[in-house]
Order: sequence, then structure tokens, then C-alpha cells
Amino acid sequence: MAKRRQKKRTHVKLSEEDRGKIPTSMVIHLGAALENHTLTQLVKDTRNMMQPHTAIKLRERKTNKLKDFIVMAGPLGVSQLMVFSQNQDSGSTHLRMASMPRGPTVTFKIKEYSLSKDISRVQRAPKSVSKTAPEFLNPPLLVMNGFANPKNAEPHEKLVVTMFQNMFPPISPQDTKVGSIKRVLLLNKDPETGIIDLRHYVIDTKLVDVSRNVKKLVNIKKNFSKKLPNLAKVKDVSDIILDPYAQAGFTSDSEVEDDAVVEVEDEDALIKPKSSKDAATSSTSTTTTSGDNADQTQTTKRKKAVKLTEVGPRMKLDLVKIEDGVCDGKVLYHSYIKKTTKEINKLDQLHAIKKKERENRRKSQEANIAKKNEKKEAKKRRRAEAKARGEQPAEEDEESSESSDSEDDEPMVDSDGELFDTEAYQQDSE
Amino acid sequence: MSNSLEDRLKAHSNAFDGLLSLIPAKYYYDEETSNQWQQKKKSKEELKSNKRMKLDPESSKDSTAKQVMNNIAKDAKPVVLPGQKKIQTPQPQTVEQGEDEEDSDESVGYGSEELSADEDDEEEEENKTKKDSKNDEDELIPSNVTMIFNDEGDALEDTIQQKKLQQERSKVENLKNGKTKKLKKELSAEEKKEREENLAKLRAKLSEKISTLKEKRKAPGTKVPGAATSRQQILEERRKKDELRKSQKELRKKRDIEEVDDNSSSEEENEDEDNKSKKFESNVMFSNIEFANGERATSDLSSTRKIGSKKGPSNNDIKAHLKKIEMEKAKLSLLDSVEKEKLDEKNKWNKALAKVQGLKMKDDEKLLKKALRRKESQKRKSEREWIERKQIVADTIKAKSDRREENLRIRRQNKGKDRKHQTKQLRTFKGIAKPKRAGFEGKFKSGKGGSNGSKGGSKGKKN
Repeated sequence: MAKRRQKKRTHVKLSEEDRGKIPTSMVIHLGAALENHTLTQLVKDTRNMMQPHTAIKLRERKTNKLKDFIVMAGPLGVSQLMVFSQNQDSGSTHLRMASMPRGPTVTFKIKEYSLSKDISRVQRAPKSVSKTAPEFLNPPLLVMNGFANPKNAEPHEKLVVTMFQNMFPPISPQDTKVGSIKRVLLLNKDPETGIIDLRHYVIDTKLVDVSRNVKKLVNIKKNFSKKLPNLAKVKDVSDIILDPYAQAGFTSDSEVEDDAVVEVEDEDALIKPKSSKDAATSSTSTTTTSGDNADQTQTTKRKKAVKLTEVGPRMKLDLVKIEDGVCDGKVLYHSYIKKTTKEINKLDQLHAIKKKERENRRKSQEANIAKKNEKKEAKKRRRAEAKARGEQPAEEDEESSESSDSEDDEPMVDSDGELFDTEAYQQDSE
Repeated sequence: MSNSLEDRLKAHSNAFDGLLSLIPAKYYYDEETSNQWQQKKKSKEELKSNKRMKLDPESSKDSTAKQVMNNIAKDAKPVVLPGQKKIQTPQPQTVEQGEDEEDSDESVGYGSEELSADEDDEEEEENKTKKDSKNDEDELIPSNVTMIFNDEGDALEDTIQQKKLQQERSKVENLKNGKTKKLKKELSAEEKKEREENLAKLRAKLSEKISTLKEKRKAPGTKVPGAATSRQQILEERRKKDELRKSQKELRKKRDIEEVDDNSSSEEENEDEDNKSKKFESNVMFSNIEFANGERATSDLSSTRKIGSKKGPSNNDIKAHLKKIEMEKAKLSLLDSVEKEKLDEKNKWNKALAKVQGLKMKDDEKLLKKALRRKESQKRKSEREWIERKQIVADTIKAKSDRREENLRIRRQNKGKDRKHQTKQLRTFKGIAKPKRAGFEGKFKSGKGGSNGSKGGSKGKKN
């Protein structure tokens, strides 16, 4: 059978190296947070926000521990882990953002949050965007307001800023198309309280200075499902182009603010110069730069009004602490607990002792396992010898009792994999 | 107490007058400020005499508000009530009217002079002559009124009107002391001729000067070579002038901007601007912006910095990394405790920042040692395998050559023998048979090259 042709020019596959550079994220919630349905929804919304480079369909189980995800992050190439958790006693929710293999973890307390559901309900004209909407094909534009300039900021703030900046792939002025940026992730820091407001918007663009009918025609070019304007009553082209209901050539764009109007280069015209001709004819108000005929095919500019519609979760984040490791390690910064060097040293000592104890335990365990294996092998050898002698082993019962003893110890000693293997073996035998 | 309205009013006005007489004039009326900019510095003697005048009770007549008011009332226009018309003497009024007319003419003249386009030179002349005559008249009027306090209402009006008022007042005064007026009239009659001559002279002088100036700038209408004669030329010249003016204006603007810039770079404005920009910088930041050449914009978008080009050993050189760590340790041990703590703090944050940016930190001695061990064992294994492969190649070559020699020997032996008695030649060489062992051992090979090679081989077989 013939192979189906793959689009290689327009759908360029990224090389392994380039794919490694793109920051990917995993948004999870664990423990008591799993019981909280609104928090589950918040996690889903957050995943939506973090699209496209995130695990959108991830499903956590009750048995999953944080360590499972940390272990799997390496092979999956996850660079950012966002963990939502809820304290069982106080009920306060926290968000931990860890940069992945060994990175620091920033812990925020979520003071308030609202789901995208709630936000759309509050709005007068909500924008409905599904998980698979084209808005989510590209990462959002990150806008941070109120943060100190990293050059002269305190180290912990600098770290937070850098972490947020490295959450999404970098924008390239040469390659990134303006049209591909369809969402905005806004982080606003209150200068007094230091609380970070997180907002998520969808960018809407609208043609301005064009009559309604022309706008319709232009929109149809992109969306075939839209209706054509009714031409039955129209006698002349001017009736369509020049909207009779418009006042002085302008239709009512009441919501459009003056400073939100931007001139945008028409991408269609840039890609295929053929279509620029009909684009020019369809929209009367296309402003060509300096009227050069040669450049006309290259740059068709349209005036567009930019509008932001809020979707997706809102959060109020309060920075609590920064840890050195992934959800563990030394505390680099804590917002309200300050420790003296004496205390820190004491803690260090304690950690060192604990570490030593752990190592000792491991060593003794390994020694135990080795001893047991030796015992097993010895037994095997004895059996083999007995078989070779052609005798039926008389002390079967004794051995079975011994083996049962050893099995009691086994689950503690052996790794899960081995257990699983034995089970599978039993099933096969049945 | 008298009950009639008039009595009461009188009593009130008395009271007010009393109060007014207590107020010094300078607090009640605005001081005359119209000519304050023309005032010259007074000499010491003058100042002294002024001070003395202040102390003299007789000389300072207008010291209180009441007195000033009385003076003004004396000079004021007689009130004409709407019901009773023209009861007063007509004389002063007519004079005033004449004055008014002149004044209005004058004001028009000033206005047109200010406009003073190039074309209406003749008008200009007329105006100037008028002005001259006016000046002459002004000289005639004696200016005995030194201090004039305006009413509150007058303070709001223009200076021109104030001037008018002054002149009116002076005229009225002139009329009142009729003797002086008569004297003046006589004088004017005697000197009228002289004055007219003077006037004519002045006019001639003026016209001469104007014409010379015109010639100098080659104005249209003059008979100087180079002056515009046709309408087109005139228009052309005008256009040129306009252009010149515009260009100069632009130049001036530019200079102003530059000056502002220069100032700002050195003075307080600079600081303000800096603060503003700092505020802006601190206010809005975006996600990372990376250019095609690998440079990254700083978060305040003011400059770019290169990323990924850091000093130090290469990523794969584990030994070098270990060495670096050791060096750093040695350095730290030399420092005293305070500096050490500082450096530790700094390193801690720098490491965290690097990790957040996705850079791999190779600073864990234990892990590095582990990696080194693994790498070395890999090397050892691959070395062993390489030796094996080499051995195999050598063995095959040897085996092939041995076989050939053996076959040659057999052929020599077989010469002249019957076919039946000939010995058979050796079989074709099919590689050295390795000692095979049970199990999967031997299928996996260490290193990238080995695995890739096996993959390629399998693919080749399929095709």
C-alpha cells in the first residue's frame, strides 16, 4: 500500500533538540485535593491555560504519589510541575511550581480562586472556548505587571519572575507571527501586599473602519460556516460596500476603544500574493503603505480593534516559600518564617544524621537481601543434588514452612516489580 | 434716633466714611502698576525725600482710602440718570467725545501696524504720521497726575482703556482750571506754523527712510535692479520667504528638543525621567524574547544578552567539572567565615536561577563521581569490544590466507594425480565460528554505535 504523504513544509516536525528546549508542564493535584471537586475543576482550567505544551488528559489516581510524577517527569521531558494541594486540617489550598529535574520549588498560597465557569457566568458577553479551540494551539503571551525589574530586585522576586518567564517558550521576533498569539496570561503584583493576581484572557480582533457587509465578507474567507450576505435585494456593488445604514462610512463599533485600534499586516497577503488582490478589492479601507504598487502585494494593512475577553481561571497567589529541590530541600526563602544561622546549622546537622541513618538502614537491608538470596540458592543446590541422587526429598514439609516464613518478609524486601512478576507467574500457571 | 430714611442712610454713610478714613489707601486700592516696568531705580536722595514725604502729614493727602475716594469723586464723570438727560454742561462731553474718536483711531493704527504686511506700505506711512501727531499732542498735555488708583472695576479692564481713562481725567482737569487751558491755546496759535513745519519735516524724513529700506530689501514697486516687477515674481518671492521661515522654525524646534535632551541628561529632569522609566520598566514585563542569533532581550527590554555562552568546562567533560568543584572548594576554604557565608548565599540563588532557566547544574560531587564511574566503565567495555573486533578481523584475515595457502598446497599435491585420488579443497570461508552460548547474551551491544548499527542492519534485511 502506498504511504500517505506527510506535509513536511508547512508541518515541520521539530528536531529532538528543539523539542527539548520547549518548556512542558504537568498540572496535578494530589491527596486531599482529589476529593475537592472545585479544585479538580481548577486544575483542569489551569491545564487549559497551560496548553499546548502540557499534559491535558492527565488523570491522577488516589494511589499516585508525588514521587511517581517526579520520576516520570524525566523520561517525559517535563520541565515544570504544578501541584495543587489542600491542607486537610485548615482547608487552605496551595500551589507549588517546581522546575523539573532538580529545580527549585516555589510555593504559593491560593488566597482566592474562581473557575472559568464562574467567570463566563459573570460576564455579559462571555467567550466560549473549548479545550480544542484554535486559541489553545499556541502558548499564551505572558504579561507581568508590577514586578520589580530583575536587575535590581531581591533574589526571591527575581527567581519568581524568571520562573514565570520560563513557563512558556520564548517569543521570537523574527519567527513568531502576531496572529498566532491569541491568549494573554496576565500576572499583576500588588505593590503593597505582594499578592499576585493571575488572569487569563483570549484576544479578540475585529476589523475597524470597514462597513459591516465588507466585514462579513472578510470573515467568510476564514470561516466558511458563516452566512453570505443576502444579495437578492442589492442592485449595485456600492450597496454592499457602502453600508447604507452606516453614518459617514463607519458602522457602529460602540465597544471599540480608540487606543485599542492597531494596524495589522495581513498575513494572507504575505503568504500568497495572489489572494492579496481580492483582499484589496473586498475591503475598501485597506491602507497600503505609501501606495507603492510593487509593495502592494507584500504589505496589506488592516486596522483591527483588539479586545480581551477573560476566560480561564483567576487566582490570587501569595508567595510563601522557595525550596531548593523538587518539593523538598533547603528553604531558600520563606515569607514569614525567618531562621537564624544557628538554627539553620542545627537543622543541617539533623539532616546529616538522618541521611546517615537512612544509608545505614539501606546497607543493612541490602545485606539482609544478599543473605536471603544465598539461603535460597543453597536450598536450590541441595534440591538439585537430591534430584541428581534420584531421591524424593523427604523433608518437603519442613522446607515449605521455611519458605512461608521467608515470604512474610518478602514484600518488605523485594521491589514491586518482582512481586508483580511472581503474581503474573502464578496467573499463568493457573 | 432719626427715623427718616435719609437720616439713616446718612448715618450709615458717615460710619462707612469713618471706617474708610482709617484705612490706608494702599490697602484699599490697587497700586498703579501699569508703568512699573518702566520705572527706573531711584537715587538715594529721592528715596530719602520720599520717606520724608510719608512722614509729612500735609503732603500725604491721599494717604487714606477716604481721601482717595473723594479725589476720584471730584474727577469722576458727572452721573447721568436715565430719567434726566443733558442737564449738565455740554462742554466737557464734546471734548471727551473728540478724544474718544482720536483714541479709537489710534488703536486702529496700532493694530494695523502690528499686522504690517509687506504690501500695505502706504498705510503704514499714514499710521506713522498719525502716531507722530499723537505724540506731539501728548507732549502738550501736562502730566500733573502722578498717582492714580483705579477703581476695582477698572482693574479688570485692558491697559489701553486704563490709558484712555487717564487721558480723560487729565483733560477734565485741564478744563477745570481754565486759565492754564487758555494759555495753552494761545501758545498753540503762536507756534502752529512752526509745528506744522516740524511735522512736514518729520514726515519727509520718515518716507525717505522707508523708501531706502524698501530699496535695500528689493521690495516690489521700487526701481532697484533685482526687485520683482511681475505678479508671478512677487508670489515666487513670497513662497521662498515662507519656506525659509518654516525651515528656520523647524531648526529652532530641533534645537529646543536637543537642548531639553542635554539638560535632562545632566539635571533634575533627568532624574524624573529615570524614575518614570524605572516605573515603566518595573511595571510591565513579558515572556522571554529570543532573537534568531541566540540573543535574548532583558526583561526590561532595554538591551540584549547572550544566553548559553558561559565560561567553564564543556557539558560532557565530567572530570573537568569535578576539578572545578575542587578548585572552588579550595577557594572557599581560604576565605574567612563572613565572606564565605556571603558567597554561599550568592551561589545558592545563582544556582536556583540557573536551574529555573533549564540549565543543568553539574555541581553535585557525588552524582558527578557516579557519572564518571559509569562513563569509565562504558569506556572500558567499548575498549574491550573494540579489541575483540580487531581480533576478529585479524583472525579472519589470517584464516583466509591460511585457507588459500592450504588450497594452493593441495592443488600442488594433486597435480598429476588421478581425479579419484585427488584430495578435496577446503570449503569457502564463512567467518570464524564464535563459541555460542545459550540465552540472550551477545545480542545487546554497549554504546550508541553498536545499537544503531544493529538497527540499520535489521532494516536492511527487511528491505
